[in-house]
Amino acid sequence: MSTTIGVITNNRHHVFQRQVITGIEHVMREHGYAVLVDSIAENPSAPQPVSLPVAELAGVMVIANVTSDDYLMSIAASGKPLTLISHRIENSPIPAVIPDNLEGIARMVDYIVDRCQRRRIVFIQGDLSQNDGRQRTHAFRQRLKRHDLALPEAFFLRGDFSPEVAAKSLRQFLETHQDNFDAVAAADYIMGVAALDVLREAGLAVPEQVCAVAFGDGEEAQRAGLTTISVDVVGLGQRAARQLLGQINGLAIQGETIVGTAIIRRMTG
Amino acid sequence: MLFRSRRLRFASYLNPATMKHAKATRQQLKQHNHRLVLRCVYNGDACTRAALAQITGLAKPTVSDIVSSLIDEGLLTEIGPGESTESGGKRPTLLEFVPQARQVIGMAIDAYQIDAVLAYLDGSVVLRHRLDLNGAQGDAIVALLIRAINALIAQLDAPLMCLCVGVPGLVDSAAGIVRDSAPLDWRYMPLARMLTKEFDVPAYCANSTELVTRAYVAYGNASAANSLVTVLVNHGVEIGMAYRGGIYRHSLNAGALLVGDDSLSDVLGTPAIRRRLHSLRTLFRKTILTEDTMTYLDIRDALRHGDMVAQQLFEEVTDRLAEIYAWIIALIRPDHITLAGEIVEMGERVLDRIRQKVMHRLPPEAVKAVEFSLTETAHSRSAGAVAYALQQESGILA
Repeated sequence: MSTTIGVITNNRHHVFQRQVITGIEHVMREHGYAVLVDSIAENPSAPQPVSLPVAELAGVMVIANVTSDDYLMSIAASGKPLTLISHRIENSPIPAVIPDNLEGIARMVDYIVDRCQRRRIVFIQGDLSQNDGRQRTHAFRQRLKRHDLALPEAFFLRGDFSPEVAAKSLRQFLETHQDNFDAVAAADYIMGVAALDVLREAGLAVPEQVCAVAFGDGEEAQRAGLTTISVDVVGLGQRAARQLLGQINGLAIQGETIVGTAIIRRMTG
Repeated sequence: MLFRSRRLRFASYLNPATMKHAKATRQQLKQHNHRLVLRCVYNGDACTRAALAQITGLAKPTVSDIVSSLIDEGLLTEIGPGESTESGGKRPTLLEFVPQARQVIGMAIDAYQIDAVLAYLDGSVVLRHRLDLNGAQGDAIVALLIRAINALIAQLDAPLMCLCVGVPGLVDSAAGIVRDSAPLDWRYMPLARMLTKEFDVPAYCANSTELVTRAYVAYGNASAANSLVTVLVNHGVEIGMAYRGGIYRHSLNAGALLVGDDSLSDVLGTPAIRRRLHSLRTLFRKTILTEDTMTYLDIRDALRHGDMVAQQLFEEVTDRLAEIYAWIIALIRPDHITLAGEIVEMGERVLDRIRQKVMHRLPPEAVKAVEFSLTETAHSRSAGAVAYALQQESGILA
């Protein structure tokens, strides 16, 4: 019986993926499994096909929507234990481990509105082709309604979970809306750090004029003093590894295991 | 697992032919004493062996034995010496409850999904798990329930003490049987026994609305209320009651009751408001609400925009709720009524209008004596399941 599991990701060197893999490796090592990582899109313009010997592995984990749903369904149909991370396929039995985007974003909006007393919030969205990106935008809009708030569509910026895209979008926004907002919320902390740089370069005082809060947490956010809604991403990887181990050990598992969030208050809000 | 294993050890040196009745009594007494001691430490009523003996009325050697046993099982720990008594003498050893010693699974099923939590013994939630039913009914739901429990078993950080499932409909909690749950197509389902057999831990089941009430008493701010009523409106309508924080009851499917020409389920609940929107759209052409995805939160948002359809829906929903509230107050005169479920997304304005309407039907003084609240927690049913399982199995969170 194989003692190797495979992880399929777009780029193992990105912050989120790196931390998830650290968590997976930690748990798998403890249980005597080796981890093979297939990083198939380190060059986004030339993604590679999956090269893992899936049939020979004890199980497979896939981070985000890096492969097609049809491919994932074919792995599941073969009976191979499979766990998705930060991704889900509607109406499929494939189990997943995801961060609690709904609770986390609700907490973020509540914090900005109730604690920081701000109501004109610019939201830098994630990649809307990904589950996390879609869920966080949806949760943000829903939570605004709970506060009886409505924001112009122009306040929803494109970010794609990319600091460069987020910075560019915010710069463009500032050209026309400099005095019209009092908070920035980002769908991940890497974009949040990029937004802080843009705000400061524009001469806006944080948090006096504009407060800033982001989803997720890491060293970069800590160094920048960014207030975050923290998700333990290493822990997310550990939970996913446990879910896969459970399946390898014969547990039939279905649905989404949801990892919680906590607010970490720093200087920006 | 904790008390079951103790029962097995105890049973092994009794003669079943002659001691059957006495065995049950001793087991129960021993279990009761363990729970009593654990609850006293958990609640902070006593934290030394001497204080435990004093407060429980148990003999000091009995308390020492129980404490030793609970320490062995990891549920209590010694944290060092306390203060000497006024008469001097040896300083007592302080005891502390260890919530991380065991974990509990609490779950709630409705017609659409399973919502589960993995919690420590103090009720703090470690993880959630959600599983969409996608139209499954009957035995197929049992299979999915087992898969959801497996998902949390894979995540255990400590031994599993017990689990509890909240179910809509008529549930005999004491027997562990779901007698009639129309949304799940379950009749006479011996759920607790099935799950105990499957997972080899004590399993319980209870009515979902009763569990919301229980969560409100265990974790909320209603512990002072002598009588608390929960009105749960999600896809149907159910009512739960708690008397003096200890006796719980739930209604039959209140959604089937007629109020005027309609049943409550014809007016309240997400499917009902979507159906109603469909007919209202033919009367009022302009609305921002859309039938397929409309929620109570969308109604709230549309009200803010002065949407006439939203206003009509809001009034119809709150009129029906006011009738339910009026009956509850007239029949029971509870201290507190809390509204739970997706309907709370409409916010405090719901309560304001209900109060106003109820005052037209009943003496205002009687209405003013009842506190109205919203139960905001989205996972209150599964949290209540945790509270129920803990109370049944260990006596804490009672």
